[in-house]
Amino acid sequence: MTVLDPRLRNINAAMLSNSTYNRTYNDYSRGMLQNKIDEEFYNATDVFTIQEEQTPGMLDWVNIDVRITHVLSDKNTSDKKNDDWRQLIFKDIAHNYALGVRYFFDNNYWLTVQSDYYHYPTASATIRRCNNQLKWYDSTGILRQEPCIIDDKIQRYRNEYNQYIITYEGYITVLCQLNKFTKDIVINQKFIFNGQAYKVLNIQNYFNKTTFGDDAPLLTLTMNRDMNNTENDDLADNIANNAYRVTPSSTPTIGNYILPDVTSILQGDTQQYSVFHYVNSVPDSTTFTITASGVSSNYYTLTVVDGNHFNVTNLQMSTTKLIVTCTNNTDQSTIQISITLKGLW
Amino acid sequence: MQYNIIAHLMQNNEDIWKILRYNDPDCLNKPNLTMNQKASLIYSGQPISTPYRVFMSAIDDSFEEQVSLLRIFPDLIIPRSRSVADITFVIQVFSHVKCQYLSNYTNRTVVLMQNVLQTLNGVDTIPGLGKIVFDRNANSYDRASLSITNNRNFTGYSIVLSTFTT
Repeated sequence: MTVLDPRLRNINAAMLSNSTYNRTYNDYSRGMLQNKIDEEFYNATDVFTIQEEQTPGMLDWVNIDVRITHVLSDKNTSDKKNDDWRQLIFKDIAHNYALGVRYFFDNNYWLTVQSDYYHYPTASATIRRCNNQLKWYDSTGILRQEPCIIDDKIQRYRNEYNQYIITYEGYITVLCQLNKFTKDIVINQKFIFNGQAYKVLNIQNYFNKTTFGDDAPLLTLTMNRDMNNTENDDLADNIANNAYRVTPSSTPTIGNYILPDVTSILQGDTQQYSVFHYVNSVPDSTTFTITASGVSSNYYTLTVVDGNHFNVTNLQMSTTKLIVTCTNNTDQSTIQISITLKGLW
Repeated sequence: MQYNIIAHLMQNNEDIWKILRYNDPDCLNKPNLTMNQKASLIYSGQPISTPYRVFMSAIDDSFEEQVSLLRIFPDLIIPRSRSVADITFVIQVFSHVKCQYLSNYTNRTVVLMQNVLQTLNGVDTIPGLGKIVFDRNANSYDRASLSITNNRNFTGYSIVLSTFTT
């Protein structure tokens, strides 16, 4: 029970508090508040168990109990959709929360977009539902998928008529967590949302959590409408430049294999190949007869090292492909590799 | 045509590639680039074009760095007959104004222009092309002009050379 007479505050604090922890009246007061919340938290009808991400970017979830309340009025949401916004009220008033922290519930990712972190007696945050995903292949060829929020409004959308060909413009704002994956997003990078291509025009990664830190929790991307490339974009899975992903090389199991699967050689370069017959993923002693065709021998040099190894040197660019055929000397089966003799680049 | 001209520049000039590769005033004193290093500066259809410095087309990506660029296009083809034509092609060399001053008291874009002319003018060994000239008597369109600008921070030269080919 809080003592209302200010003259008795210190007496009360000294009598009721843990002397090793509640060293000040403020500590005592916060302890009382936490006790009160602990007593009554689960009486609320809006308490739910949701998942909270522990490490930015890792989607490593831990269950927590929170109150989930409305943020926007049902009747005054303007362009914002009421169900995209919620407030979380944490049971622990010292709960470790911050901008950029992600949650998962109701089959949606949610991103913390507002917080009352500094010197506020209770812990609560405004979260926003992630309504799409940024998908891209990173520099190692791994598919990255990051939940994001595409803002409700599209800006300055129009057809650009003053050109030889009419093109469409329109600007959107995309918000996501800034983490070790999204920090690699660069200007001009293309993304596809539900079949529509957008290109990154501006990156805001500088709203730091602390004045002197390089610790911005959120990434805001401004994107302009771009164009689909039906050859390179994976429009079904919404991944731009799909053709540039790294395709894992096939692991030999059984049969004839030429490795590595390098199908183009720059002018002046030499590529080494091996050809083996595999049984249970292990190469056996079978040798091959190796021949080349398709291009005049003025354009390349084929050097057969032994029955299992050969080198191809590109002497000059060719518009037709070099075909190297390896014939299994045991069963006469063949395997081929088509090699593009490229120019200087 | 564009490939063969760029290949000729790769095989017969070093300063152009050092200027394109290095953005500091001392770029000309750096080691020559290997052929692979030169090739790595040439754009060949990658998803993002801004890491590259040599282009055979216009591009629609926005640059963030103070760099130097070279672009090459066929420009004007005037047929003399059904089988022969006068061809002009344009080489654009331009760079950010803050990196144009070189340590040898020259201008980066001027040095680029000089090297392009020095390496290509009078050459008649490029496959698929006749003799390349920078000669107003041969083609009245030949010229170099300080006409490249984005009205903000990039300037450079548009160099028109010509050839006569079948």
